[in-house]
Order: sequence, then structure tokens, then C-alpha cells
Amino acid sequence: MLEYSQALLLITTGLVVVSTIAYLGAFFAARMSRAAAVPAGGTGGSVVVGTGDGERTVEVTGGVQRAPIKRFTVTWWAAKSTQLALLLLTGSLIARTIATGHAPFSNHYEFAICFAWGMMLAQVVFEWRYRVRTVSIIVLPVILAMLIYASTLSYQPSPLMPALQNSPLLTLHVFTASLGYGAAVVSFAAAVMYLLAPHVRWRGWPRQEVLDDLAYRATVVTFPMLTLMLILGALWGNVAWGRYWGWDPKETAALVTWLIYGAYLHARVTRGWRGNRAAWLLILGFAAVLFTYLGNLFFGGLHSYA
Amino acid sequence: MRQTDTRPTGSAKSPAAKQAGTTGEPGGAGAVDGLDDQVALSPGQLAGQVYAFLYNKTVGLVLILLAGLLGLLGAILPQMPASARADAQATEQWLEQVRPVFGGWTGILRTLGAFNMFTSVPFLVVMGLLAASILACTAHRLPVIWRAARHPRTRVTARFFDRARLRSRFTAPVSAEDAFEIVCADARRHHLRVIVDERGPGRNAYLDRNHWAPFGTVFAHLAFVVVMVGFVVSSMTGFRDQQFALTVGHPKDVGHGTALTVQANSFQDTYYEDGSPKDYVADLTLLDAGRQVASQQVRVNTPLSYHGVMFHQSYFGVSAVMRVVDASGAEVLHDGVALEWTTSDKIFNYGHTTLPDGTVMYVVEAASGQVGTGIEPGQVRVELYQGDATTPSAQAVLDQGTPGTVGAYTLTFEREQQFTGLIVRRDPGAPIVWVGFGLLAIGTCMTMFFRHRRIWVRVTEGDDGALVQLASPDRRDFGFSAFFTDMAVRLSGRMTQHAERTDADA
Repeated sequence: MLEYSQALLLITTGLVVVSTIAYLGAFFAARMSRAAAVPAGGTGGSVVVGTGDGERTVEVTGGVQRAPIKRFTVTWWAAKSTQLALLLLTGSLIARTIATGHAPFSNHYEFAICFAWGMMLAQVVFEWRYRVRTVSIIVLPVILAMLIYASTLSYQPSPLMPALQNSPLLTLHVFTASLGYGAAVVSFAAAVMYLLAPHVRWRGWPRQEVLDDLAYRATVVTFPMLTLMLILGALWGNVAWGRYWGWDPKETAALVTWLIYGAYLHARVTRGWRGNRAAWLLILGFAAVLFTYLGNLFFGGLHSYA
Repeated sequence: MRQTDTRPTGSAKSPAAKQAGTTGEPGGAGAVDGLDDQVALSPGQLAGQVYAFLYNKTVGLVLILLAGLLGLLGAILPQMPASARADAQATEQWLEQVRPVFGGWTGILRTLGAFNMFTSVPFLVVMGLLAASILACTAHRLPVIWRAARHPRTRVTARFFDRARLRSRFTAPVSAEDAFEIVCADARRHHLRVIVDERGPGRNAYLDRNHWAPFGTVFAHLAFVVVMVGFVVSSMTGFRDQQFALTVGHPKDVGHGTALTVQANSFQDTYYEDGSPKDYVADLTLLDAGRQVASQQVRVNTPLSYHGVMFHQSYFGVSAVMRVVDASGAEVLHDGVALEWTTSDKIFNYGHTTLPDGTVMYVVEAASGQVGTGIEPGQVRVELYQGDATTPSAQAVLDQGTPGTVGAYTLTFEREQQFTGLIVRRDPGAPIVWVGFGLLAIGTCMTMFFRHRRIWVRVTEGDDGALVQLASPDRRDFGFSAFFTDMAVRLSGRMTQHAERTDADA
């Protein structure tokens, strides 16, 4: 079963490569097709919508309509490839769970795969929900990097140390981390694209306000998930180690990450922070996510296994 | 052998103002600088200014970022263990360990609290100010949220329908009355609260959804303060015995004002094929004032709990069971001494205990695989220390089962026995923290996933039918913008269908 899991992971990686190349190719082609920028999406301006009889119209200012996605285009196929990759990666995780007898959350390799799964899920959901596919050109390379990183680690399952033998809390704690970190990559990609927008006059590059909104929407998922992850971790720490908080390096890094996203939400909601400052804060947040994930490799602590 | 334990194996005007004789007006007669204004502040005004400072959103934001920065430093920089902080000598030894890395900055960082970040003055001040800021923000915002939820403004000006961030207008071939009814019915069908405002002009309604959601921010903010209160209660009350080594078969009092005695009946450790620990479990019996009150197998993740006192399985190892008899022949100790420490050169394992007269007894054995140490298998070396002395007053190597005289005592190393290392604690702050975490989870999810949405509607009679206007001041977001557009299109369609049905009926 472990071999099936690895095979599915390999195919997933291949599909992500295909998706990345397809998206990049589509956007480069779009860039070459017209020099002038034609921003995609947007919540600005007015839309006038026919109501069916062709005579009456509904004028909406500031609204937006979900544009239908053209089928069988390169980006359509790229999107389908990503969705299929998500399915296969889910299958890979299930196969690994069956093979090891526990959820695949117990070491650095397994969490790398779960992190990639969370990012892929966020990409698919946000693409479906907001129809902003451009962020793929940043999200997919990050996913690919994570999958390649995972491939450098030993995939052999490691036995569960006693502290990890708490299936409900382990599963929920790491699952919420995967969802939160996954959504964080979308906000990161949107923030990077926001900052690049004035310098990139590609056809199809989303409006800055759309990217700003997308980054916010993704953070609205990230923040509660990180909150739940911290709470579940505290519950678990209280059971396993007799304290709900111990300033373990990874715990502290997770708290700092939570504070950065909390600061972003406060800045945006109460101070109306948008634009470059908010985008930089989100980039800092994602850097903190990566630091939290990778930091225990350098700092040890109670999370040294993952 | 006495050394730093490394780790277990397992309103009045001011005189100046009076002198100046001013009324506090800037530039008044005799005023030399702007300070006169400030010294004229009454305590109430001062409190008001402090309050205004605290509920200032920028202040809150800066404090959050500062807390994050200090936390990051705490995660990056090595933190001194609590055991080292408690002892000046141990503190110095620890600082010597990090001096090669930080060089001349070691002392400065130590003074700034960088090596004990989470108990340092800067961190505690920032967290205290953050808690105060949160309370002030919440107190300041609560009446606004309450009014918005319970008594929203239902009537807006005509200008609002022309200027709102999100707005729609269309004409429908129905009467204003019918159009208004269709709008209200559609809103209810889509789970919007409908409040009709009978004041003109036209027919007006206020629609909203999730009007209780903003209270989520109140819960989430108060949660943060509750959690901090829990932290303070945890640190100031209860107790926490991090290294409660309990030798199998030798009961031990819990102390800390309890009448509890705990005994390990057995201990078992199992391993995976690769040698990593699979499970360790202690069979514990708990006595309260001599009466058995609990018995349980305690493993990691399954602690024993009794009246708020928790026993967590933490580590394990080997004890040397020692019998100590004083010069009068009285037995002063018969217990296991957990050999839970390892010297920095990894050659010896050792443990210590204090005899009734204050003498500290160290028991030392050669670590596994170490030969030529002067302590053979089946032997231990015993060292006795008086007071704070750094050299032993007496020492001897003892063979298992053979009594020996060491100083004023006759000591017998009876045998080796397993010990279970427990964390024993009572934490009255924990329940407070759980309440805080519960509020945080509920508040955050309410705020993030159930945003308050507001739409104002005005329907007026026009020449070509009803003029329907919808407007919302809410900040743009894709989901709500799409919902708003869909709603406008849907309403127009329904009104057209209604007109067609009415025409057909006629």
C-alpha cells in the first residue's frame, strides 16, 4: 500500500508540473497576444445585466458577476489537472494512512505532503469560488517546491512515539494546520501579484482590488484555522505534557504567525489598510508560516519530529 | 559531582501653573511653553486620554506587532531553562555556554531579558498594554455594535443610493407596492432580516444578515484577555512538580499542601524494532490521607486526575534503592534515588536526595557501556555534601547489598529498580484558559465566517413602473458583490415574471 501511495504522489507531482507549465504558457501567450493590459475580474465599475427579455436592464455599480469559465482552453485543462492532482494526492494520503495505520501527520515528510495537500485544496477551492486563476502561477510552484522537498525526505513510515499516540487531537491539530497554511499560500500569492501588478501589464492580470480582496478572503480562512490549531495544540499539550503552553520554539513560531495574520486583519478592518503595506504583511505572514514549518529543523523542541 | 543538572535521562494645578497664573490657555500671560496645557489636566481628563490612547487602533496594531517581534526573538534566541534561572551559579554556567555565540552581546542580551523573553519585563509590559488596549477597544466598540445589531439605522438619504460603494437601480413593470413585497419576500427567503421603515419617500426597508456576528469580535478580544488572566493565575497559583521521580514499590508524598501519596506498583516500557520508545506505562495507586482514592495505568496522553491534581507520565529510568541508617541505628531513609541526571561528559548517571538533617546525598553509577570509571557494574558511589559545600564531606563506593559506613551513616545499596518520572501539577489557571480558548474559537469563527451584511432598499413609483434601488456601504468583497449582483438580477426577473403573470390573469 505504501508503494501505491508513493506512485500516486509521483503522478501528483507530474500533474502539478503539467499544470504549472500550462498556466505559465497560457499567461505568457496571453501576454504576447496583446500589449495593452486588460485587467480581468473586478468589483469596480458598473455591470448592466439583461434580464431575459432584452429590453430591461439592471444596473449594478460595484457589483460583480461570476464569469463563466471557457471550456477546453489551456487554462481549463490546467485547472482540471490541478483538481485531478488534488484527488490523487488525497488518494496518496489515504493509501499511506492505510499502510501505516495512522493519519499521515507524524513526521516532517508526512506534514510536507499534508502542507502541499492543504495548498492544493485552497488553490482549487479559491479558483472555483473566485475564478481568479492567475494566482496559480505562484501557488503551483510553491506546491511543486513542497512536493520536491518532500521527495528529498525518507518516505519510510516512522513509528509513532508515545506523545503522538493521540489520534483525535493529532488528526485535528495537523488537519487545521494544513488548511490554515494552505489558505495562507493563496493570500501570499495574491499579495505578491498585488505588488507586481503596477509593473506587469499582462492581459488577464487581475485588478489590484480583486487581488486585495482575494488575499483577505484567504486570510479569513487562514486565521480561524490557525486559531483552532493553536487551541487544539494547547489541549493536546495539556494532556500529554501537563501544560497548555510551554514556549516551545514551534509553538512560539506558530503564535508569532498567528499574531502577524491577526495584525493584518486588524490593520485591514480597523485602519483600512490595503495596498502595499497589507500585501507586505501577508508576505511576512507566509514567511512566518514557512519558518514555523521548517524552524524546528534548527531549533529542536517538542515538535522535533514534525 | 555537585554540578549543574544537565537533563534527565529519560486635579490640582502644578506650582508652575500657579506661578504662571495662567488659565491653561496656550500662550497665556506668563506662559513660557506649551506644558501649561498639559499640567492643567484633571485626573478625569488624564484617564480619558489614557483611555483614548489605549483604544486607538494604531496603538493596538503596534502592540500586536511588538508582541510578535518579541515572540519571534524568543523563538530564535536560546531560552534559559527555569531550573537555571532559579540559581545564580547555574545562570552563570548557562551564560557561559552561549557566550561563544553571542560574545560581548551576551551580557547586554541577558540584561534586556532576551534569554528569558517570556518572563522578561519588556514582554510582560507589551502583553499587559495589549490586554489593556483590547479591553479599551472592546469597551469603546461594544455600544456601537449593540446599536448596529439591535437598533440599526433603517432610513438613508437619496444621496446614499447614488454614492454607496455597492448600489443597483432598475425599473420594473410592476407597482411600487408589489415590487416592495417581492423584495422583502426574496430577502426573507435568502435568510436576510427585513426591517420595514414606514417613513417615505417611497417604500423603504433595511435588510441584513448575521447581525450578531460583530459580537464575535467582542468574544475574540475578551478571550485574549481571559487567556492572559489564566496565564497569570497558572503562574501564581497551584504547583507544578516537573521531575517527580517515583521508584516502583516506594510510595512518595506529593506535598504542596496536599495529603496525597502516590505509589507506582509497576512500570513497563516497550520499544519498536528500531529501538525508539513505543509505550511506557506506570500502574499508579493514589492515597489521600492514607485512603486509596484512585488507581490507574498512566501513560503519555492518559494522565491520572484527582481533585484537580494531575499525574502525567513524563520520563523514566533506573533508581538505586538506598537504605540509610544514622549513628543511633535509626533508619532515616529507605527509598529509591532516581539516577535521572547525566554528567556533561556522558560518563556517569547520578541522582540526589536530601537526608532529614539536611545532608545532600548523591548516588552515582557508571553510564551504560562506560568502563574504567572506578564504579563497576553492581556498584554505586555515594557522596555526602554539607550545606552549600562543593566538595563532599564523605564518599565511598558501595557494593550492592553490602552496608558501608560513609560519614555518620551506614548506607546500603540494596538494588536497582525502575522509576517513573511524573509531572505532578495543580493548575487553577487552566480552566480559565479553556474558557478563553472557547471564546476565542467561537468569536473568531463568528467574525470570519459570518460577516454582517447590510442592504438598504427604496422602491418608488415611476413613470415606467417601480424604481427599485438597492445600496450597501459594506467594503467590497467578491462574495458579497456577487451576491448583491445576483440579488438585483433575480429581483428584476421576479418582478418581470410577476408582471407577465398579472397581464395573463387580466
